Parts: sequence; C-alpha cells; structure tokens
Amino acid sequence: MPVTSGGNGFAIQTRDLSRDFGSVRAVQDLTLDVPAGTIYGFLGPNGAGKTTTIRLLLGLLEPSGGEAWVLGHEVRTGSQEIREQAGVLLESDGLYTRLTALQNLDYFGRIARLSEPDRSRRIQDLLTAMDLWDRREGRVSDFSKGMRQKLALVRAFLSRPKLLFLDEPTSGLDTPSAVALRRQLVALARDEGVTVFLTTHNLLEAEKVCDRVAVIRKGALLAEGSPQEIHGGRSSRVAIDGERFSAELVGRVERLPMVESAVVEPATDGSPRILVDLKPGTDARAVVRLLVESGAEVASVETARESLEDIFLKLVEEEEADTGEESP
Amino acid sequence: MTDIITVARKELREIVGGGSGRKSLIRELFFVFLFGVFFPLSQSEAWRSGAVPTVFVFMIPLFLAGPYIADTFAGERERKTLETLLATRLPDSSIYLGKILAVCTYAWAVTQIILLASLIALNLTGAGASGGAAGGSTGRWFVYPSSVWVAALAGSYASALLISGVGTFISLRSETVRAAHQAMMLPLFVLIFGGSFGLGALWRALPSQTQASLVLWASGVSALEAIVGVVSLLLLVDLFLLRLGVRRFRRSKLISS
Repeated sequence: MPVTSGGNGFAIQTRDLSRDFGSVRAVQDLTLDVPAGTIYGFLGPNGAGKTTTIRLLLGLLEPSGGEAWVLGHEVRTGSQEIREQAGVLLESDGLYTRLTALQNLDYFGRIARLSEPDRSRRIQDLLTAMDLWDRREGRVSDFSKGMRQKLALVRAFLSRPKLLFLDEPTSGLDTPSAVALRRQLVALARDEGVTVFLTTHNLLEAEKVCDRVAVIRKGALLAEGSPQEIHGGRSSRVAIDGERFSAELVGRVERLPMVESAVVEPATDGSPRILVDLKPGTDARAVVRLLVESGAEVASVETARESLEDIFLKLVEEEEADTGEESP
Repeated sequence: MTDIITVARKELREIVGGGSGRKSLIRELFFVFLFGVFFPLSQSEAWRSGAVPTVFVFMIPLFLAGPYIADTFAGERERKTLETLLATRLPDSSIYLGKILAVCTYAWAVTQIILLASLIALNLTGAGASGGAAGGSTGRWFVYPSSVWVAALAGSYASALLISGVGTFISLRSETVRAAHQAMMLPLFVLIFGGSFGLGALWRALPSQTQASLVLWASGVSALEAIVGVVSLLLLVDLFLLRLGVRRFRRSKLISS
C-alpha cells in the first residue's frame, strides 16, 4: 500500500523503515501510522531504537530501507520541510548553558523566524505557563534538571510546531518534577492541538499520557494500539479469596472455556486464594458460579488489571521465547 | 543571510558574554597588552616603520580565532547541543557560515583594538619617535602608513578566515573540544612558523640569478601593492576552503549512531 501525504489524517507513516549501523540493525521493518493530533507513545527499553527512529523521522539519518512520511513529506527528500514544522526535545535538552533562558529562547525563536513582537509574546506566554517567567534572566547553567527540561519543552513549543518529538522528556527527573512536567506537557499539547511523538521507557508515563502506544524492542515493533486495546488483547487475572478450594474444584475451574489457567495460592494473610487467568474479553462470573454451586465459600473477587508495564514485560518475554533469546 | 546572522549573533554572544566571559576577557586583555602595549613599546622603531604591525595583524587573528573555531562543532557536540541545532530548520550552509562569521568578526575586532592600543601607546610615550617626545607634547601624532591599515582591515579578516576554514574541518571531526584544540596546534604551527621558515628555505633554494630578478621586481612594488597582493591571494584560498567546507558539511555525517 503506498503511503500518502499527511493530509490523510496521519502525522507520521512508516512502511518497513529500517536503519543499519554496520552489522547492527537499529530499526527493523518498522511500520507505524501516527494519527494527527494524538499523543503517541513509542515504548521500549534502552537501546530499542527509539532515538534512531526519531533521527530517521527528522531526516537527520538516512534510512537503510523502507519509507517514511512526516507531515506529508518523505524523509529522504523533504527533511528541511519536516524540520520547519517540527519541534524537538531530544535525549539531551540541547540548551546553551552559557546563555540565559531568554537568550536561548530568543535564538530558537529567531531560527523559527518568529517576528520580534510575536517572539516576545510567545516566550512570555510559554515561560509563564511553565512557571519559569521569573527565572528568564537566569543562566541555564544555574538551572536544576527539572527547570532545564521545562525550558527545553518551551523551546520545543516555541515555533508552534505541528508535530513534537519528545525523547524521554521526564528521564532523570524526580517523581514530583516528572508529574508536573507531564501535566504541563499534556495541557500544552491539547491547547495547541499538536501531535506528540513521545519516546519513553517509563510505561506508567505512557499509560497516563498517550492516546496510542507502540512497543518496540531491538528495533522491531512488538505491539501497537491504544493502551486499552493493548490491555484488551491480553488475558486478565482474577483473585478469588474464600474457603474449601479443593484440588478437584480448581481442576474443574481450569477446564472452563474462558479460563486459561487457575492455581491455588495463599493470600498474604495465609487464607486460601485462587488466581484465575481469563481469556481476553471474558469475565469471572461463570467461575464464581461454579465455585459457589460446588460448595466453596467465596469471600471476595478482585480483578487485577495488568499494568502496561506487566504487558510490556510479557511481550518481551514472548518475543524472546519466539526467537530463543534471553534478556540481557 | 538572515539565518547566517542569527547563528553568528548567538555565537558572538557566547564568545563575548558567555559563562567563561571573565576568563576569556582576561585572555583578550592579555593579548591587547602583549601585542598592543608591550611589543610596540619594546620594539618601537620597528613598529613605527610599519613592518612589524603589518606582520602582526596577519598573525594575531590566527591565535584569536584558533581556539574558538576549534570549539564551534566539537564544543556543541561535547555540550550535547549539536543535535538540537541540527534538528532545526536552519540550512547546513547557514550553520557552517554563521559560526565562521562570528569567530572571524571577533578575531578581526580584537585585532583592530590591538592596533589602536599600539598607536595610543606609541603616541603617549613617544617611544621610537625622533627626540623621544610623546605625540601630544610635540603636537604631531604618529599614524601608521596606509599599508598597515589595509593589512589590518582586510588582511586580518582574510587571515581569520584562513584558520577558520581549516579549523572547522578539525572541529567537525573532533569528539571533544580538547581533541580539537590539540589537533589545531598543527595548522597553527604550519601557518605561523612554516610560513616564515618555509619561505626562507624556498628563498635559499632559489638560484642566485632568480633571487636577483625577484629583488629587482620587488623594488618596484610598493608596500601597499604587496599587501593587496597577499590579501587577494589569501582571500582566494579562503574562498576555496569555504566552498569546500559548505559542500562537505552534511547533517547526516555529524550524527553517526
């Protein structure tokens, strides 16, 4: 299927995009469709190929194979146009530490060809939104890591980009700073209607912030969809506390069509508990009915929804099992 | 051109008012004192003749521009600002030429300050003047001949462009500023010492008849004509280096992995 322009509702489209560094394949046949106006999470462990993908999409690296369109421009021939319409916050904040916050933003505002009044107003608005206006004359070398990330985010938004590439924006921040930055990022992105391509290895962050996520490992796509879709495609676990859970009864539960597996495991207080893994799209009603009808006493039923982190680890394990590899 | 000026403005801001501002100010004051006060007063007659300042205005930009040009790309890479810069809409040539423009303008401006300082020092002390009177007391101020001014205004910029053209190649390929500074020593050494020793050796290698013919030809050339010739030659080399630099500067080559 030929990939068309950004006018088809997608900010980014890739087809079998690959990049080799010598004998190492950093990005492997990557096929993505990033809808315009969404916050798109690009998840993977360190070294998964997230940063290389951003570099390919910005035209900073030439693909070894495949195709990619960003905002309707092919990355090989339209990289200048892509960079004109994109904002970035890369792995490193990229701020000039010898200059003040204002001087940094003024420089990037000039690069973006914002007029003097527009530049000044935009800088004031964004710095105010990020609670940095009072520190505008401060030299960046005196800023904390959190302040620097905020300032870099302001710089990324400054040119009113249609697309924002954020590479691990909360990496290295303490929890309160990360939460604050995440909140401000989402607010700004929604206000400005910008598409955000967010790489992270923080799965909790992706779950909270992203409309859609793609999971990659060793440059290859493992899963793609909304966090709910990814959850929906996976089994869910139910913990049933009670009494009189015989081995024979557990065996009957395991034979129910919606059950993948069932085991008895004592709860933390030592009371009996059955852990039941249900197939995708099913629930535990038939299991509870069987238990009650068989004379077991059911005290509580708890659905343990897997976090994206659990799912990510399972995906990695499954992929390792398929390829016969082991985690490093 | 707007993009080149945007890059140059920011570079100059970092050079002049950056975090290491005090350190670089001390370095510049040292240069101004050494070349603008100490040497003129200790070799006042040679300075008044115009010969020494002519040579110095070609040499000083090499020392001034060298460290900063080494820092241009290697420094951005080391401080992890290069990739963000490359991810902007700036064309390759604007990034490359903007950095060179900043460094050359800075080296040129400091060279002019040094020359003016030497003129003030010579006039205030009267050093080297017949009778030893200060310019102010005799009522006649000493001014360098026009060839020195042409050398200072055009030659110093051409000289800064020369070291910048060579230096950016080194800076682009260096992982750290330190590595770039070390690598810059070779072209500086070649340009400063190789030039004089090399020309001397070349002269000695010439047959005496050729030497005599050249001396005869040179006696008919004025100092101003000689300076214009040297500056023109330098500018031609600069133009070649800049064209080569612009052609070879590619974003994708700067991000290797």
